[in-house]
Amino acid sequence: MTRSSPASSAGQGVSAAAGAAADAALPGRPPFDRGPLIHRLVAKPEFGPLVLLVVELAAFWAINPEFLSAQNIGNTLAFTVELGLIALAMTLLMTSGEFDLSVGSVFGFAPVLMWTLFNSGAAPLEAGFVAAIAVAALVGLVNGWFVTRLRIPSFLVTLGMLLVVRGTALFITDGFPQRTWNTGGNWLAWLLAGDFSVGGFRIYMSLFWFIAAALAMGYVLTQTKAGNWIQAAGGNPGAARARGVRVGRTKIALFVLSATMSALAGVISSIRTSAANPNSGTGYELEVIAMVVIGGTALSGGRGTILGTVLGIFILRVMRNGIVLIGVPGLAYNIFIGAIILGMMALHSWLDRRHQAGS
Amino acid sequence: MAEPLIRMAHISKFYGRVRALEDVSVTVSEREIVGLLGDNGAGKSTLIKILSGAVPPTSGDIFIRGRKVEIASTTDAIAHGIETIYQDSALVTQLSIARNLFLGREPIRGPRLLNRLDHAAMEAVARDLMRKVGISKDIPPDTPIGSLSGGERQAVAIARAMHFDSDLIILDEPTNNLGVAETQGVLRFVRNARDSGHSCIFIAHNIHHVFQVVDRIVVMRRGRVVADDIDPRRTSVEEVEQVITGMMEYGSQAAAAPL
Amino acid sequence: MFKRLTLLVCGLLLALATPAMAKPKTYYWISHGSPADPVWTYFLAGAKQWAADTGNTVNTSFHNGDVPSHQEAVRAAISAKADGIVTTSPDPGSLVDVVKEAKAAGIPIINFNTPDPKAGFDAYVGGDNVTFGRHWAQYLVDKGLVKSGDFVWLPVEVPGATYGVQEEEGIASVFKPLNITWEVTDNTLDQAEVISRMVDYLTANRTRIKAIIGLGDLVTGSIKRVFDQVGVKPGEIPVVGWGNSLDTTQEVLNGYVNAAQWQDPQATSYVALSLAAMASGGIPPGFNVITGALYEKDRAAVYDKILSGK
Repeated sequence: MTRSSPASSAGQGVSAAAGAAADAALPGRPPFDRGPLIHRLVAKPEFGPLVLLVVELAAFWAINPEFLSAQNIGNTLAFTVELGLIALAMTLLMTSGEFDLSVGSVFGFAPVLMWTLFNSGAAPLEAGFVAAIAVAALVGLVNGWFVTRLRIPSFLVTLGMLLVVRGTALFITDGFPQRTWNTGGNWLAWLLAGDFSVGGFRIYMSLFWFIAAALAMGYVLTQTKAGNWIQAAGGNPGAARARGVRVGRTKIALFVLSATMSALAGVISSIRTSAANPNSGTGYELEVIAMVVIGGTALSGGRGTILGTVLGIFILRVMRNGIVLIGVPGLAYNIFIGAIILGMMALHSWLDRRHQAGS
Repeated sequence: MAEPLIRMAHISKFYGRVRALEDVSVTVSEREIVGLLGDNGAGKSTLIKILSGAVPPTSGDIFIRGRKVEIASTTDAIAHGIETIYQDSALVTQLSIARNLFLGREPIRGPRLLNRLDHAAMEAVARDLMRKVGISKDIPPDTPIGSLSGGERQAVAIARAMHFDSDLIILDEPTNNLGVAETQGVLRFVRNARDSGHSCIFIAHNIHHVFQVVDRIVVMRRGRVVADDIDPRRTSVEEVEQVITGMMEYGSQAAAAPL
Repeated sequence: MFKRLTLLVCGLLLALATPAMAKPKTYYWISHGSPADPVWTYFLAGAKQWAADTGNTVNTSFHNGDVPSHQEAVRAAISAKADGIVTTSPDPGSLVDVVKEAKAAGIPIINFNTPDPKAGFDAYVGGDNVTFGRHWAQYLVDKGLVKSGDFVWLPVEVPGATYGVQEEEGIASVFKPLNITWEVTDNTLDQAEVISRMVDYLTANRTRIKAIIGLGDLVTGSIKRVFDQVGVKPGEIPVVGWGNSLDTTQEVLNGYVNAAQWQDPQATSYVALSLAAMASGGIPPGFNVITGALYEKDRAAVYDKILSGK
């Protein structure tokens, strides 16, 4: 409840005078200088990732022009945006100071649930989809509850949930992957993962979902009251609580978002790859966190950037695609991925320190 | 006589078997700055936490302008017009001045569903307040608050309390980490706050600071109030120190045996 | 080979038809695989079937290639005084000591799926990966699908794991003398990642790949999706490899894969457990049982039917 009104006029004269006196009393201070535009641009956390992405694209294209062919771009985008959906939600969650390690398990579990229901004839595809998303939301709710009410670190809670969800997926399917071949023109399947060709590019519907999610979450983080609460919850939860921010509720909502996005991504992937494998998604959580962190979101929370995450997503996936195209020995891929992660972390840390020292 | 702004009646607080507060009754009148003094463990912080909604009392009541109120959370306290300025200013370093000012109560513009921040309004008010509290005029309101000095941050915190028209501003050791000039600034703001119609409870270890601003001093020792209307104009610092440490019973000039 | 197998199976079934010991025993079935790898689901099904048919208890566990975890599981079975243990070998030489412990405890221990002659198992049931590799490479050569100087792509899920290593050994024995080169690529056990990586590699190396040998079921089963994504027509690049999944049987039927290896997963589990039961009953097995058949389009329907039955 805000009762905001300017201080009463009786005080204004006094405070103005006091203000002037205060100015005189303060030690000599130069006018606040933020430096030229180019300095401010370089100091932004998204700048490093942007440069790296551009360099990557240029380098790979120079070595193998096939890299920027319509077909390669189309292929790369297919899987990238699915992981991307998870990374976007993870950005908001990490900004609020929490992690979700169960995203990979939910990614695998949700389509398994949906297709089990559909293949066994228990429900039409649409109902199965809704059920899968609902169960995922429930998983997120449980994660959030454990973290905010029981005050267990999210790292541990979601690690446990990772095992529970994965185990459930394996148990209910007896390990058998679900068949997903018979969508046969179902509208929902097309809406989620249909594809069409535009001048040589093969575009999947998931690309639009990704763009929509990126715009929406970017908007939420920077332009809304909720976004302010997310940043405050991660930056200084004590202060946020003291000012009346609903930290617990915000975090729970973000856990639900994270699980829901993972489920959506999993369903889309299952339709596109024609496989609902209970083991799918293993290891995704670390890749997604790496994407978020490379993009400039602080590991400790309080500061997040959706634009940075988008860059981080592409940096990692472009690297994976590019090193294959230029003929790096297959078994050395991970060296490059690891090197990028380390390099970007060092860069961010250096930029951060420069910023603190006062640029 | 008019009802006091705040009346805490017979407040007790037990943490398990440890008695933090026992039968504490304190009042704060309108437009009054009350200094709350006491040594470590006297119960000042606990009392303040109860008033600001951070912890619930074990027993006792709180009245605001004669009306009994329940303060079960920090949100309740803020809703009742009680603002607390903490040592670390309850500011989020990564957020800008404007966002910190409105933290928890951000103004919305446009349809509620879109939840869109009213940046223009926030920045206008922020600029206005910063000028009023004397921060250098050129700092843009979207500067991260981490770029400001300690004193400037406290000033922002105080400006925030003043802006949201709280009746009572509680300052919990606000000058602890500040330099001389910045301390003077804070003390000045506190006086301004009173003159603008707000009341304050001012907690500090440094008695000299307290003496410079307060209208009345309350002393606590071991969970109890031992003196509640010391007039700083008519009592010396040494005498107050003796009350704090128990070497003197307030009301008599004779030294009493330490409890 | 097939006749021997059939004879053996009939013999065992007859033996088991007599409800000799009604007292149920407990056997441990330990695999280094991943529980959702398409082929392992069939191995597991064979074990479950055996348990249902004989009334014995079979405790199963998967270890995802984690050698210490696998060793621990076998040791746990020994401590639990299992009536018999059937296990794969996660790494050559990794179970040598463990097998000694089992034998010292008097517990019959049978090796299945991935052989390890260095360890003193009582018997081995399964294919021989080196032989399979050799057969696949020879198939390509004999059919004129590759010739001297060509390049062959060998995608695998987990590089360095026994199965791939042994297959490569067999392949090398054929290709090296003929001056045919190859490259093994890493694709992980995640379906989406497998498709993504294979698509990338194929796009980059399309012109120089003359044939593909899928060293595992998941990669071979992904060929159709990968080919479709890259725009390669079925049959444009010859493919052989593992074929224990519906994905692959369909690919063979539709011309994407020339020949695929059937490992008899259910039968392997079933027979291994039967051998363990036989040994537990006092008859020591004195031979190995080699399984596996390479099928082409004409016989693919048989296996497709078996797999669809699940």
